[in-house]
Amino acid sequence: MMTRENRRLDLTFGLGLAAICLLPWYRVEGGFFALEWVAEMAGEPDLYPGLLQLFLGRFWLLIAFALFAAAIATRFTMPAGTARGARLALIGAIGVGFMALQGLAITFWGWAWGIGDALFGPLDPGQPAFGAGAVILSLGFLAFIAYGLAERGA
Amino acid sequence: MSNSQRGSVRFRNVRKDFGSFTAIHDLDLEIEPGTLVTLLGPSGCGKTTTLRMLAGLETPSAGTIEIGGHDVTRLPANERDVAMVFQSYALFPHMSVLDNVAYGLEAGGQSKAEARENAHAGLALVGLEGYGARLPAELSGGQQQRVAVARALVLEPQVLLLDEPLSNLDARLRRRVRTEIRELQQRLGFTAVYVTHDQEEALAVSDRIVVMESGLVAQEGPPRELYEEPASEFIADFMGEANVLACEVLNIAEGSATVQVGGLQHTLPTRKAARPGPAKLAVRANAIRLEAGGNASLPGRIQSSAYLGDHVEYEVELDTGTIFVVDNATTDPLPPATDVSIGFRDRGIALITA
Amino acid sequence: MKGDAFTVGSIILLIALVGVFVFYPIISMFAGSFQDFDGSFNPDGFIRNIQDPAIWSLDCVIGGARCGVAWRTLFLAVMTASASTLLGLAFALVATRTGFPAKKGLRLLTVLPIITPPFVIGLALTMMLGRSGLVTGWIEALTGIELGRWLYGLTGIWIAQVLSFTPISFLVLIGVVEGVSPSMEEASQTLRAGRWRTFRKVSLPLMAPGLANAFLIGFIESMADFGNPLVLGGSHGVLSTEIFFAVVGAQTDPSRAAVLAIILLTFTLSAFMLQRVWLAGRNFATVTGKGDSGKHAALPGPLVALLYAIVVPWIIFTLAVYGMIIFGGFVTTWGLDHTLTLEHYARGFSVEWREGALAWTGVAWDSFWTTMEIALIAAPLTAAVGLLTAYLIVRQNFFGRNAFEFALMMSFAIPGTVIGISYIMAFNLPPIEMTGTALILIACFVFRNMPVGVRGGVAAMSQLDKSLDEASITLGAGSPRTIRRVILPLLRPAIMAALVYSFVRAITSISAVIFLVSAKYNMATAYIVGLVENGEYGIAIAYSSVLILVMITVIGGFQLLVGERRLRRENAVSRPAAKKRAQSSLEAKA
Repeated sequence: MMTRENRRLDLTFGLGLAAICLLPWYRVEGGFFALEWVAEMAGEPDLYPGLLQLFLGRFWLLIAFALFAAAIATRFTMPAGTARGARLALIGAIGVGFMALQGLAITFWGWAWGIGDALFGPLDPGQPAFGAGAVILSLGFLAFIAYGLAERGA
Repeated sequence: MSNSQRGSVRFRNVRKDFGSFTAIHDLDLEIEPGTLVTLLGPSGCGKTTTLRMLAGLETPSAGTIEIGGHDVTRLPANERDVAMVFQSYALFPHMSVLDNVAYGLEAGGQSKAEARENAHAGLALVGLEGYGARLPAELSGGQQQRVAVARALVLEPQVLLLDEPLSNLDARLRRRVRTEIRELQQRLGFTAVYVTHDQEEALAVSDRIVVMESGLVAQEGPPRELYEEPASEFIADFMGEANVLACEVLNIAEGSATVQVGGLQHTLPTRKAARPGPAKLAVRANAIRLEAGGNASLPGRIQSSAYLGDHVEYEVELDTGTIFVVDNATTDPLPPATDVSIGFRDRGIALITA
Repeated sequence: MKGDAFTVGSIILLIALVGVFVFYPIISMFAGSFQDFDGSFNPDGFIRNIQDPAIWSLDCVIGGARCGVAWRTLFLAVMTASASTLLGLAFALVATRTGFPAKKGLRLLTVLPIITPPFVIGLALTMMLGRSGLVTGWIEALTGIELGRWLYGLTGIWIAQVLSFTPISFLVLIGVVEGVSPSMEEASQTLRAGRWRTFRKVSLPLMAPGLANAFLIGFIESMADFGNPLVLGGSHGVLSTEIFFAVVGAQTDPSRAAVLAIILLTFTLSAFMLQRVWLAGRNFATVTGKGDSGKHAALPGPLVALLYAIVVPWIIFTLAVYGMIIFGGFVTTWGLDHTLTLEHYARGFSVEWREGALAWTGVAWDSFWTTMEIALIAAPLTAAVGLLTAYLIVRQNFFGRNAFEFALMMSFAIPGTVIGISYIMAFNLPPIEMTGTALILIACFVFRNMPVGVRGGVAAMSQLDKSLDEASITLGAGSPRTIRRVILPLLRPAIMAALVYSFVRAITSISAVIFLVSAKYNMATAYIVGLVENGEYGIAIAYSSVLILVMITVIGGFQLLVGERRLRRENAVSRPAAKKRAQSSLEAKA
């Protein structure tokens, strides 16, 4: 059973990494399932995956990726069990919360709320709506909560 | 089939809360491999909760549970090496009898053919060869019960759990099935935990009985010990109707004690460390002898009597209260308002020191 | 909660989905009412709109022209609820307590509201009683009185709503009337009470909670109704249509739409809460699950006569309305030229053979296939989400379960118009942008119809003894296997019902859909409403008839399927207690 708990985590890590490195992070205008983005991806920064979006000035995504990396580190440094479950669930909860918060707070034109400008100054590149990458990574964080709680035996 | 693993069971300081209600207080229990242990008690005493925690259907609020020496406290039910026979049998109504028995084997990773073969063997074990193609509803209650047992046994669990397995059968069938279960258990030698509220059933099948009362173990021991030497009024009453009388322990000898109830003195065997002084006596209804005539060391008066064919039941008024008496002599029932003298028989009387 | 990843994962996923697709939109709508076009905080719009006399004016009470739209909507809802409850009770009494000859046919009535797109009744009424309606023509010819436009306004909406919702009330009240234990009535009669006294003092009070329930359902339905007011309202709108026109009308005012939606939501949620409190307080639960023998007391003779006098004309009226729907599709121009024609069907549904391929040349095909496609995608999703939720609610004990169940049931009281407006306000901007896609329509259907799937699933699942799943788990099967091998096979009827219901609802609903359709994904109902607005009644009614036919086929096919299923082992799965719970959850239907 220990291996099963790790196996499902590894699967989630794989999906999450694909979401970060391969899939368009933001919404694809023509529709994701039309799959036109596959051909156009290289030349169109809007279609870049999350990892490359970092270099387009969307540095805040780094927090989400760091949380994801923290989950991977937890998997390989701690034995399966109550403590690891609690840690994973916590990372998942923070991850989901952060994804929602940054999505709501940063829109096309920078900060959505005045408080962002006041605290951090104006933000130049805003961001479009969630795409496949962002959605799948959010689901990955939800999975961390679920697997974490299950491992904890809540 | 014959080589069922025998697992021991160990509860260590187990507590179970349902909200603010504590169903089990600090349960410590050890079950030897290969024995049949009964959890006995009135409804709401926590016996079913204990069984369900062992099955993994409830999680203890505190403490640990071990099966075969391994801590299974946090292990989900489907990964525990136990199998359960439910009160309602819980046979899957949409599957044939064979599919029901093969279900757990398939879940455990056996191929369909292998599972069916073993399921056939399981049905043979309970004497239901040839019934595999039927639906559960096409079987009688006793047959359904046996399918439920077979379905659990084919998994060769370390421990077999039985939750009031006879309560849906009529009285006559109940006696036969309980004998079958006991025989099967002794033949195959598996460990079994058996929950019931029926003391007769518990006495008939168990190696040991654990009597529970409001979430606590009231007494634990072999059937005979519980019946003959109840540790408390509750046990005495629960293990077979008993009159509890106040008495005075006069003196203790090796293995016996002399007590006095009213003016009546009686010597009874006891293995307990009794001390002289006030105590209580549990007297079975059939351990009392009534004789007409008022002039005795322990006088009473018949309040009511009921003729029940093979015995007569009396309510007898004493100075200290009313007692219940069963008399097997039915030839000449005593009418109400008869003055009687009370005597004790040699068996069926126990000293309660608690 | 056991340490089972599947269960925990399902619960978390469901909570996330309900959060994103039910609560996030509603919250966005609240936020939207305080925002300017550019999204900055600005309470002016909210303050201006919430004080608008056009919403709250009580002029009509003091003799003025008319009251605000909020009061008019409330008044209409009370009138509709009263009338449909009384009619529903009359129907229920006739169907269960009298020797009415066509009782079976009467029960068929209950299917009508499910298969009828909501504006169709309004449409048919116009064709009968409108300015150039059939009956209007007869009356004017007979009496010479100019009837004019009396139908357009609250009166017309009221008639249409009573026609639409009486069958729903009938459905609820059949259960209630049958639920009154005959032994109570027999007891009353042995105590020397006559038929009248028994009916007034025993039967009726025992039905009171059910009547209140039916009333509140009628109230919520009337409040949420969008189709009939749109067709019949004229300039006298109700809240749901006002919301629509605040978004699509000449002067777009999202803040006004949001404020109106909040008012509407407040009304329906209050009614829902009231119903909950009411039901919790006085459920006499006379269905005991014990075999209650005995016969229901006969109704007093004059009462039976009265019931017949109400029910029979209403049946004729209903049949006439539906006849009108069929007939209307076959006449050239309604009110002017009643020659029979197939022209409308041909325009809508013509098919040609062009260049070796089938060409769907009719104007309706586009929206028809989109509707079918989306309904076919949404139905299994709705059933899956609904039944999974039901499984978790009934079988798993998790933190916040009751709150979760309550929130789900409450979402049923959110009017479609409010859902529509909240979806466009929430999903038009990052982080989640879905307007104009098929996805938004599917999400809308799934989460709008899910509570029905949940309720059906809960009722069905409570009838399965819990020890069945426990047995499966102690035999070593995990949750997925247990669901697949034990629960799903035993729930097949509930699954089929949820599938059919969500499919049909996806086809007939209009109120939320009309906000969410786009040029690329147009739905049948939205298209029909467009036709009505252009005055193309013929093709609109022809299209509606086709939809009704499609749904009758689907429901009929489903009945056949379930009817043929060998219902074996009922004795093993149904227990009296579970039956009772199923019954009471049926009564709680809102």
